[in-house]
Amino acid sequence: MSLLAVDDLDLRIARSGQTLLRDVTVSIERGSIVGLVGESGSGKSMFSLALMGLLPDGVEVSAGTAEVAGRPIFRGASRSYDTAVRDRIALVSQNPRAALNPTMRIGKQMVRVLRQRRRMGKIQARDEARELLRKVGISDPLRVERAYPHQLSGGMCQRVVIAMALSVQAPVLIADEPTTGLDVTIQAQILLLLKELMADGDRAVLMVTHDLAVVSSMCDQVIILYGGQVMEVGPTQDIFHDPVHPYTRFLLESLEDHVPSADDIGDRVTESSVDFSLAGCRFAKRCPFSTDLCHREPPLARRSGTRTVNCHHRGVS
Amino acid sequence: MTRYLLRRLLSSAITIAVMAVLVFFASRVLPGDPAVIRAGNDATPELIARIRAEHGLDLPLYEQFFHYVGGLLHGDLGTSVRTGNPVSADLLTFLPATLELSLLAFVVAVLIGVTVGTVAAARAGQWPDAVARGFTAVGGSMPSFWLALMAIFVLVYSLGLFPSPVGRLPLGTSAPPRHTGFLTIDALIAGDGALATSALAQLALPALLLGMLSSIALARITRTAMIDALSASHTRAARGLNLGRRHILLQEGFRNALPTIITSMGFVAGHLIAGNIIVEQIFSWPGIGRYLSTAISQSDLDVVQGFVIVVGVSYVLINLVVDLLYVVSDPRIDLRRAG
Amino acid sequence: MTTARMLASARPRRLARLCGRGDLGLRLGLLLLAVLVLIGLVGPLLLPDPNATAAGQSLLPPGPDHLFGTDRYGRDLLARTVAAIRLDLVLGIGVAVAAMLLGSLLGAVAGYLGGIVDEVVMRFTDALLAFPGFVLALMVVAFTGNSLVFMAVGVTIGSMPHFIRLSRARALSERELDYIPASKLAGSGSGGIIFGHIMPNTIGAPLIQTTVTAGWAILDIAALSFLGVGVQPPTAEWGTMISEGYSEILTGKWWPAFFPGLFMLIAVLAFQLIGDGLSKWKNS
Repeated sequence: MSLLAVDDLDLRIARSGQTLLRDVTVSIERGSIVGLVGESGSGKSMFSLALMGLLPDGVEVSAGTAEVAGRPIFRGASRSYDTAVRDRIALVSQNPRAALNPTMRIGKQMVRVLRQRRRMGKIQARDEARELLRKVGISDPLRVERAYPHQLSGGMCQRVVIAMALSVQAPVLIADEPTTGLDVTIQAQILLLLKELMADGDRAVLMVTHDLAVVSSMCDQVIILYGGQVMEVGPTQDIFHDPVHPYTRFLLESLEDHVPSADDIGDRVTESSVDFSLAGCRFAKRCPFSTDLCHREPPLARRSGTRTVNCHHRGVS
Repeated sequence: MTRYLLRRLLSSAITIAVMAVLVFFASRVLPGDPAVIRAGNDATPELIARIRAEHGLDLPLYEQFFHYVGGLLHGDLGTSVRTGNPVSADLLTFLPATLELSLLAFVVAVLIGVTVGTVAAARAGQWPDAVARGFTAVGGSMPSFWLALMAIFVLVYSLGLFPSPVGRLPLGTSAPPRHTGFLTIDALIAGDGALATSALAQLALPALLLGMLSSIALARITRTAMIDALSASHTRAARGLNLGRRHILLQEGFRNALPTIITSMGFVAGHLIAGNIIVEQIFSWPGIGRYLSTAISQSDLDVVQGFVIVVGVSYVLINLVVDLLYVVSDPRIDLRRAG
Repeated sequence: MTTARMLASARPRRLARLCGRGDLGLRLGLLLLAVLVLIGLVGPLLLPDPNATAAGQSLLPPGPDHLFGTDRYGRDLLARTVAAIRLDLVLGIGVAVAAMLLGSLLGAVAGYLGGIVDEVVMRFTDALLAFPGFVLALMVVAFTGNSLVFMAVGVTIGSMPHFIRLSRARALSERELDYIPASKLAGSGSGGIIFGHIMPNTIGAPLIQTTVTAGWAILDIAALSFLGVGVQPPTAEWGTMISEGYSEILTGKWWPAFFPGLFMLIAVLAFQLIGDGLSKWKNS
């Protein structure tokens, strides 16, 4: 059963009508880590914010549905966010220090989440907070709980943020570029921590990132996003070995360990910025294989087993 | 922390010293013979000469300066030509009236300023915000004395909601025995509830007006600081954790806006001091502001000099306290490094 | 972030939004100021003598003959209020411009020369800021004997600190730029550099501050006049008029104090709106 099921989600800027996300369909099973890959500006962060009900003013959900652990996220014709859904889904963002209240000690910040969300008493909350800090790899929780965010390192802050996300006991965790801006060694530690936390079972993680290496090491499944449109979906290793969508091929060619070959399309992909009011395929302007149809009509989803390719002309063999 | 404190004290002391020197030079160097000015309109040459001798105005400038500084260090601010008392004694006599008014006005200013700013920020872009911004725009452009007079016309004369602006007590009422100099408190000490109420009634309108006028800058700054705090990443993260609305407004919003709000307290104090002079004049309030106004109209220059010095020193000290409070209120400021 | 940019560029298409408001404020401010200036210039030609007393016409309420009523001495209040426009606007703008020029010069000198000069100027500025509001001007007037000129000087000095700081900050950063050493190589002395390079480049932002200062100056000048220093009766000035209207309020005659204050509010509001609008426009 899907823990997170999003169907044909559209996200729009209300005033200009530009569609930031179009027809986005995502399905995440219990116990899996799914990667959402895209360049900056692809709309991947907007997707996380939409699921959390934290969209900025002026951006709205204009079509589609979403469910987490069986509960609809958007209700009614206006698709307003049901804040009760935050019981089941939590977000860990990039820049962890900015996500913490600078004027409050860590312990107090964690305790208030536990007291408000899990109705714990003061002592119980304090103990649980310490336990959670240990769980995320903080060996001296007593020191950390007395600290202010600016006194902790970036990696430490991220652990705290993860601990707070855990404290809510939500089955779905969205990790939006959780390691961007952290030291390389710390990055690895945080990713490892996230993977370990998955071992508890019963959870699902949506890992939003631009880093293909992270996807390769962490994710079972990957969703390729460009210009707010899903390009390709499938098991990570399948996609890495055998990319079908032109954009996916273009992306993988940029990896360090890519061996140049005659099949490469990289130099045939043109430079262009995304046109968010375009009716057709968002990659059409850059794609070497695009036709008139591609510019006019949004691509169909071609499914084959666990793979989906959204393209007029390319399908899985 | 101590090193920072000492550095700020030193800086304030230097500012006060420079200010005192400025005042001295203003009084001696600016065009206008101090003796002639003091003597007033019916001056005879003998009077002028006498005043000159009495105030040591015939001495060389540097000697006058030494006397001046020496006097200041002893708390001697000169003598009032009008009352005959030392200026410092007069100021002490009139200070409680001003303090009673100013403290109440300060409370009003903070309540109005912070509330208006917070509501405007919490409802940014909606009608309460527009009203608040209109309030600060118009309020900040309005002459204080005009507002006071209009308020007196509407609230005292037309509607009778407040008593006549005749001073601290209604005409014919005598003051309670003096303990603190605050009439409301002294009346309560004397067990006279009715008297305390009268005193409070007389206090109400001037304090309200003075407080309201002093709240404008505070409301503006509170609004901006709250909007910044409420749109910060940590606030968004707190919303994502479904922390209560009131909690977010107070802890993510207000607590983070607090350091900035504190810095604007200096402006509030400044407006209170300047506004006091005007309000005391209009409401016949026997405080140091009116003492000054009378002294100016009678060219009682020692009083002006003394008043300006006292006000200047107070303002510098208030700003020092505000700076220290600011530092204390922001955990991110590490004084071990700043000192 | 792309989305932020897209949201920002979507704004102007919506009516009466934030960007539009800044523009609206600026236009309103300029309009108000223009109307005031126009009335101030043309009005006195069409209206009766502001100082003409008329014994039998004392304290008439606003009516067809006297749109703003008359004061205690029978003088037409509309004429007086309009006559005061010129005086108050000239004083306010004059003070602001003087403070801007002097303050900017002082700040530029301090920022460029640095060292002891900078230190002295900074301490001087701090001392000036030790006096809240119009207290400094009050002191200057008291020590020099009641005179309009010295009142203006006092308010000017009190308004300088803002400009000194602004200009000094700009001078400090300008100082680091390369054209200064080049100038020096070409033989310019400090004076040439300060007037030729630093001041022109540092005057930009202070111009916005000048409009706001003009508004404050009008308020301070009126406050001082209200207290009886500076401008003396029978000169028509908004502050003195309100002061004259004080005793009438207590007998229920609101118009002598109301109209001058209203005009002052409009004038100061106009300057505030212009200043705010200019700074929004500059920041966009």
